Amino acid sequence: MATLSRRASAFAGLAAAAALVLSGCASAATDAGSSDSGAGDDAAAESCSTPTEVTMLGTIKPEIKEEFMGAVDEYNSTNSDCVQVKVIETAEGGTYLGDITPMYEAGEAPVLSYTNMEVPDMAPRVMDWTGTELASLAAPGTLDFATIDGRIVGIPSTAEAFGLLYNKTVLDEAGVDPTAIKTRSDLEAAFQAVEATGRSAIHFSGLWWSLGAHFTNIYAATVSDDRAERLAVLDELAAGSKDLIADEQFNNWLDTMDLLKQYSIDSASIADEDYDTGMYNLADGEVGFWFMGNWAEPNLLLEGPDNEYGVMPLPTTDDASTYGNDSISVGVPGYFMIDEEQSTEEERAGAIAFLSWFITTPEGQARWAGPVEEGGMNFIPVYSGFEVAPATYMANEISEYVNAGKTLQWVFSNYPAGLQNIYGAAMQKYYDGQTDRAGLAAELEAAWQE
Amino acid sequence: MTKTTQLARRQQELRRFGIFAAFPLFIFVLVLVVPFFRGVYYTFTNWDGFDATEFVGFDNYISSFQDEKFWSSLFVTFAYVLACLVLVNLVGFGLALLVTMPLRGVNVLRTMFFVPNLIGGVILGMIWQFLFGAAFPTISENLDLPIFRDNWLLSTETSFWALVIVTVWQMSGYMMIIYVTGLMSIEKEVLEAAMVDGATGLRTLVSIKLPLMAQAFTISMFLTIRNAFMAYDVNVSLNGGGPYRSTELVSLHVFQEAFNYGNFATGQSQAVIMFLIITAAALTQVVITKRFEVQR
Amino acid sequence: MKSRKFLLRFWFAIGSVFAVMYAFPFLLVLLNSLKARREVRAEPLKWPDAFLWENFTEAADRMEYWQALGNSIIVTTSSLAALIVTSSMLAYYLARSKTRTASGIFLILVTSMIVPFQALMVPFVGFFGNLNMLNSRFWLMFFYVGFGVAMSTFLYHGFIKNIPVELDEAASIDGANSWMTFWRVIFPMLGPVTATVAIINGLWIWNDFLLPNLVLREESRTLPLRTYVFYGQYTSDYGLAMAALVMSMIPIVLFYFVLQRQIIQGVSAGAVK
Repeated sequence: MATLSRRASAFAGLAAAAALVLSGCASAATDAGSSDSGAGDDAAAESCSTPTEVTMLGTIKPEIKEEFMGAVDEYNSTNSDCVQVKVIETAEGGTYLGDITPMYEAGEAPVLSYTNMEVPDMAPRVMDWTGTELASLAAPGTLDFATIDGRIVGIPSTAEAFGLLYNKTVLDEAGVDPTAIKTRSDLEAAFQAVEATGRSAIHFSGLWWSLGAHFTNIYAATVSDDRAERLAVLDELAAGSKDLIADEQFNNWLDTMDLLKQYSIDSASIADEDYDTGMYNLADGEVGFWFMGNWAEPNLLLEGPDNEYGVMPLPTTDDASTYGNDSISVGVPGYFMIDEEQSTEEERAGAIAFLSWFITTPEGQARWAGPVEEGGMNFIPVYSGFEVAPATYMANEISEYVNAGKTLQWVFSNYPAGLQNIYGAAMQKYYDGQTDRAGLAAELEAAWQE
Repeated sequence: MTKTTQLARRQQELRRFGIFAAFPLFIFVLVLVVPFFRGVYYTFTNWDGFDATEFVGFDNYISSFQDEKFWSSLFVTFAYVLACLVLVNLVGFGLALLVTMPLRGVNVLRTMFFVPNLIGGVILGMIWQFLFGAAFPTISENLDLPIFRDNWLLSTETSFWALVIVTVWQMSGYMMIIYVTGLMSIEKEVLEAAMVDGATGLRTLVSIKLPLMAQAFTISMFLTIRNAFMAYDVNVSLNGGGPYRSTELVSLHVFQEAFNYGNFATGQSQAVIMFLIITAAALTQVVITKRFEVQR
Repeated sequence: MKSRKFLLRFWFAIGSVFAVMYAFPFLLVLLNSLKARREVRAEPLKWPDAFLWENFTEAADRMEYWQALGNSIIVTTSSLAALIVTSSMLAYYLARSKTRTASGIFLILVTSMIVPFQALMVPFVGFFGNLNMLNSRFWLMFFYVGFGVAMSTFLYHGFIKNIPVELDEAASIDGANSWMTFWRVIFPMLGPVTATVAIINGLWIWNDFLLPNLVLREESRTLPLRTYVFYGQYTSDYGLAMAALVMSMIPIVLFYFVLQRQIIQGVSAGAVK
């Protein structure tokens, strides 16, 4: 029980004369800990007889549960007797707020938690990371979403990217070099080259979330090369003053969508759609391309282990210099937050020590970014000082895009709650051919007024 | 009656209450009544799932009614309850007539029809998700039947009917049992007398069987209404309220409002409204069908 | 009477068609539980290329089947026992007491049967979380009594009402106090309705998802919760999921076939009372 251990650790804290529990236990954790965690000495070691239990809600994502638990076990057994991380597993099909609010109400809030959408809800209850080492290591831009009212309320996990996924074997056979595709015409030529090998060019999934959030992001992120102007477009939409059909980039973007539809493996109909079909088609080399994100890579490697899979930009114009034609959409899928309302100072320090071990030590980094086969989580590092390079082809590519600054913003993170559902429905209609451009523009504009 | 005996009786009553009722009622109050009123209390505050810091009067109820999605989920729920009410009972009653006929193997049939009730809504939803998503499209491709070619769970209208179909498939076996009991409770003499008078099968059904077993209808309909209004498991695991929240029943809506979108006070108010609606609907139905019951 | 015979044949045919329709989903799950993940997606109707019995062992392993089964059995039986004891006692008091309080209590119990769980969920968890009563199978039993006592009392009440009071009186003349009277004289007569209570609540508790999902953690999770393991955010492990579905259905279906008559009787008795 967390309350029990919290009480116990409070006594331990007194006995150790407020010496921070984490210091002196693991040297790596000490240097990496928060800036105010200093002063490790032998006296602190005695406090380890009653370890601080740091609770963590969830396993980051259900897909990497085993790997995450493996890392926690390694940390608990090798690094420190003073800090023991205890994972509170969440139920499949649950929600973050559904899991965490009862725990707060019960006075058993987890010290560490991880989420994305709910970061603003949690902001008043969690610790400010400003001035900590981990926050200073985080790549520029990755903290933007978690910076609320001047406080850094969370630190990023990894980068996720979406764009045109491709099967390298298929493209090699068709003689297509994905890095040479800079315009929509180049893309069409590539599609034709793939078709010439007797395959279909692309699987274009009509899944509502893929269309509503990710595909619309291509427009929202390329509408301007200036972040403030991009957000201003959202404000205009919210105010009802944006005329989409009159926007040149809107039409460019739909030209690209039409191209994908035209070359898609099945006559586009949302009713045929499910995620698995797209995955199998790409893994089997039935198609050369699939509009999706790097979360599909583990599935692809499982189903078609002999291929390599990459990701490339989706050009929206015939001009190679158009903003975004050389970039993929990259964002942070979630943030780690530390509770400040119900945790003790020892617990917070313990949580920082754990994450510091994870992100800054060689052992932790191997768990963080190492390949899944070796028990790693295959995260793309978004912190400086990483010695471990991502293991897979696609992760490496994304890393390169990130380092070259060729990334598009995840503007869809700024959509109001529920908008991507309505966007998804409207996009599916266009995808199905049930509406034309003007109709789609009207529906997308109307979505903001609901 | 003297005062002392009255006092003694009251004491005895109190003792009996202490022995038999106090403990069960204590649990009931603690588990059900206290959280219920706590929830009602929250609806008048600015509760955000974490703290409730001030009273806001009826604001949450006002914003509940201004929530368009709440209205549409109420509408879908009503449609769903109505569809289930008609179809579950029609199918259930039909099955009951079938298994009370002198057929070979009726016991096997009865067993089969009841099996879906043994399995929880979550698991049933998973099974049918697979049927609608993969099995039916393959069948209709092979047989060239257009009806199931598309995945029913992916478009608004069919997704709703998919939900109804699964519910009918699950609940009709249970209602069948109730109707069978109703049919069996009719005295043989009554039916024989009707036969002698030359009544046809249909005639006996309409003028004798139906009125005499009206109580079974009252119960089945009450259970259907209650279960359909509260349906949650199947909704979640079959289509998750999709596509785009169009088949989100009110139970799921309340859950989403609170736990997914973080509007805890609004969600709780909607739950209270939901309770009032169910109460009203159940009472209306019982009052109406009671009228048709024949006193025996 | 030729037409009658023909008619019966006709209805028999209709009945068989319906029976196949009712069984079809289960048969399909069974068929696909022996296939590889991709075969399930691509050809759901085909006979398996090869019987993949490993699906069952792997699924059992990943969902920790035996532990989950044990949990389900423990939760269901202990909750049922507690529910039967408490609700029969409460019903006995309510059926025998002629006071206004008693009828008031009865009315409240009946009304509570239509309170949707959603209306209670969050405040419920907060309240009991505060008392440190979550995360335990013992308290789950307690919660099932709280949520199930109304319906069960209602069932018992209808039955006890029809037991003549003279029996109680005779027992009390013989020197039995009310506690002994209830347990020695009345309770043994409640067999049929106890069966009904056990069956109706047993099906509910065995299959329940929301409440155990809120209350139980890791090693004490029940079968319905564990079945979800195979469903991912984007994609699911279909072969394993099908095997898991089969395994979570087997215990209750077996139970049903053994106790079929009692179950059907229990349901009908409960409904018509």
